Amino acid sequence: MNRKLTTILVIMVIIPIGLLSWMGVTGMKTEKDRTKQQVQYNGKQKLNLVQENISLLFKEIESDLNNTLNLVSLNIDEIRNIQRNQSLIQQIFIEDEDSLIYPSDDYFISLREEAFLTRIKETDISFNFLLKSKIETAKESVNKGWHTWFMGDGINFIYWEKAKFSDKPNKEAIIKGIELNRSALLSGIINSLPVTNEKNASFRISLFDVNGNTIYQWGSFSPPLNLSADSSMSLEYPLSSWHLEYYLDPASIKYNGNNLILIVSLVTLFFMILTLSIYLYRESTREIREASQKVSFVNQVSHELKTPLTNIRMYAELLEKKFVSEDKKTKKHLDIIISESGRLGRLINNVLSFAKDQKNGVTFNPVPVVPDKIIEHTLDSFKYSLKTKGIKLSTKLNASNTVLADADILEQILSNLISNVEKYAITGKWIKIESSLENEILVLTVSDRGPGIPNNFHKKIFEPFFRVSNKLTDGVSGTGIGLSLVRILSEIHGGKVFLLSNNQSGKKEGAIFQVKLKTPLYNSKEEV
Amino acid sequence: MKPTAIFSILSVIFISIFTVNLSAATVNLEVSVSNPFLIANQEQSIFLKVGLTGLDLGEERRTPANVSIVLDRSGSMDGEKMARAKEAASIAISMLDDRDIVSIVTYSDTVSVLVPATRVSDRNYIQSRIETVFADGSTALFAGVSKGADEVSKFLEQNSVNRVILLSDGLANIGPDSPRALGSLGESLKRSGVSVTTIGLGLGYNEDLMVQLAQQSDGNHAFVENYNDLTRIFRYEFQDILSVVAQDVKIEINCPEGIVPLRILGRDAEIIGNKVYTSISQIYSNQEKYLLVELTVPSSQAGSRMNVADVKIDYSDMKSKRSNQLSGRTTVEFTKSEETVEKAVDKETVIDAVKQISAEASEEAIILRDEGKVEEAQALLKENTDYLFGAASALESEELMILGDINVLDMEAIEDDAEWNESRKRMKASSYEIQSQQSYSD
Repeated sequence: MNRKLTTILVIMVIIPIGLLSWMGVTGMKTEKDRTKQQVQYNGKQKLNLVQENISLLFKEIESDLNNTLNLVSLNIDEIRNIQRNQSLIQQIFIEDEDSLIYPSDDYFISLREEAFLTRIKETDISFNFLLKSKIETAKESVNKGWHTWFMGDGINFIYWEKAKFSDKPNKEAIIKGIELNRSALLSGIINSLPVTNEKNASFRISLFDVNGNTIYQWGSFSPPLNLSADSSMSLEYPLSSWHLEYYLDPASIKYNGNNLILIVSLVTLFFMILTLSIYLYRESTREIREASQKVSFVNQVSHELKTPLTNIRMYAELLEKKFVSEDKKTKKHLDIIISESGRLGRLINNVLSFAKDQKNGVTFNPVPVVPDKIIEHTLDSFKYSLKTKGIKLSTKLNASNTVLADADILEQILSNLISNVEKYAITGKWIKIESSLENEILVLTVSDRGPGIPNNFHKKIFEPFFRVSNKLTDGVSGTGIGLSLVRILSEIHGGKVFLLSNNQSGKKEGAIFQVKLKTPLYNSKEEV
Repeated sequence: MKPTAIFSILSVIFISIFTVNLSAATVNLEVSVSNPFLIANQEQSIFLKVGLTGLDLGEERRTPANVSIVLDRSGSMDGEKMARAKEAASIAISMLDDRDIVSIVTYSDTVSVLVPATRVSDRNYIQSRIETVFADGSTALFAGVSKGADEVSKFLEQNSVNRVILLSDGLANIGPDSPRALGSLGESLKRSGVSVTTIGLGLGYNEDLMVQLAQQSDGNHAFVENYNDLTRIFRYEFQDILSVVAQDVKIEINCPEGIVPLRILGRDAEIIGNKVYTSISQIYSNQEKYLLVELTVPSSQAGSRMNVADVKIDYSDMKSKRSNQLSGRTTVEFTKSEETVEKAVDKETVIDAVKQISAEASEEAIILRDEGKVEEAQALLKENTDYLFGAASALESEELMILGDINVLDMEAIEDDAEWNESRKRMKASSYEIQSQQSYSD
């Protein structure tokens, strides 16, 4: 009973707590995940805007460059004049399908133009690639675009356009191009992006070049080195080797208020369940504790009581023999003394046996006995009290063979069963004791016509300290260990105790306890 | 460096100068050669000088400024440096009025626009914004300059002085950080009409980068070792800005067949065949900016006269607020008399040429020293010193004498490892001053 209750209570506590913690943890986790996703999403949105800004800037630049290229004719002085005045231009060039027309070593060129030629040679790419590859691979519709290549510490940008010059009718196509001033382009990109201000106090967006170097960044939040970006995004062509990263200040992330409420209610619920289970546990064990304390006390005093009791009984019996037919009234008083001291003795025996069992110490001493004799002897001690209580005794004893059994155990089992009838089935006014020997098994049956035992208690009644009813009217004599002891002693005797179905008696009420004990037949001849 | 009026008049007498003033010009063009007389029947090289001097417009009619002050607020600026920088910026603001536009940009890890481009009508507000700056973080110099230029470009006007003033004490470490990249940025800004003045504070900055940026954008550069000098430099710079009389000056030199422009001294210019193109961003009042070209003149008979250069100038006149043109030419005469040649030497032009050559030598010495060739660098500077002292006595030039003295100091500094960082910054700054004919120095 005890263990089961504990288990139930523990389960009752553990399951909801586990469930609650799980809910709490997953709730927080999903909240965190959700927040993280939100952060990533916001970051993506922001980076998208940046991306759009830069794309827009490139559209403008392309349009400017287109306009500039439209002005470029074969007049070199004019070309030079154009490039002297445009801040974005590093060098204009024109090439036909064979080679560069401008700038070219074929005529006087400036140091700057020479440097351009050197730059191109250093890239190890013939400039004709532009024309040839564009013409060969590109569709007819593609007649302008970007070309990038790595030079020095970064990308070099070229914007080109296919063209035909009216003054060069024999030439099929020509490429006009502009090499951009990298710093000017960079500066233009930077100027299309925000500065740090109160709008970006909680995050940082950084623009990285192909080597992972920061080109530009804004936002007051300064991410520590080990912090990874919440979002990142590559730029569009021709800046596809660059990327943006977004870092949100973790301190600025606000968790949802709902979550706090959830956590608080989970914790409250947890404590409520815990308190309730502790209360229930204490309530349910209170009786057991109390009974147990009672037994424990009786056990302590029982040893002291046993000797005086034996003396009282012995002398009372001596006295009874002496006053055998003189005074009926005196005889009656003596009977009461003997009966009650017998009852007290049984009680003490029960307590001592139970205490011994608790310490695994009940000894089993089988000796040759006739069971019926022991039964009769036991009944003798009950005769008086049964009579006074108006309980009619009926017996059907069929175990008269000598068998090996522990007389003390047998007597104690029977005493307890009869005693129970006396206590709880007094209303039935009837008790029947049956005995028989079947295949070396002694069967003892005690029936009554009392209130019976509800079905759901059939197992529990054999547990120590359990009582079907706790009503005060049940009397003070119950300790709650009687049936439990019957079970323990039966098992020690290699047997078992059963509560047979009430209906077996043919009546609705009443209880039938049947004890089966292993009792080998004793053959005295073999002994001799 | 500053030509005396008397000398100019004398030059005019000796040298044939045709300066065509189409209007009451704010800029005076002088085209001269180092040797108006050349020995006959001999190929020689001479220096051609194209000098532009601004006239005074007066305070009433001064050119409005459109300035962005870009402040490095990286961690290294913390303390007294930052305090002085704020003070300097405040003083600069106090020199401006509601004709001018100012913006203040700060940078460390990232860039912030402290004061967006705005008319200087509420100085107190601007100064209170300056007070909020604190130092912290790294150095996103490229982005800082970009954003400063972006602020300037919001009010970009041909008739105002569009300038970014960069104050930095450290190495750029976020974004592009090479002198070449910053030089390219400077070049593109110059083309958009914005020049960048770079002020290097202390000994931690990259002088190559700062000089490149100033040079390519045709701005000023100053090395301010002691932060206490910052306010003075800012004052100079703003005086300079407020004295601009002409902008976006395009110079085109055409040499007749046979005359070959060999090289340009100091400034960046394009030589294409017998043509030279260059531009100067600003001409300041009472200051001369010039271009020196070394020319090879073919031999010719005694008594003959030869045209060596036609000069065309196109600039934006701050007074008339219109674009204006000037042109000029110069000739040389051939003689057999070495005395005539000697006597006719245009000392002023030669002195300028010597200064430029000396500045080039100084630059070269720095490169050698960077390569670890200390002795070669010293030898070069020794040679340069002799050259300067020789020229100083021949031309009776005190200026060259002083330059020679400085060269001697440089020669000693170049082998002192401990002092080298400082010396290098000083040498860089002073050779740039000569090359750009910067009006102020520290």
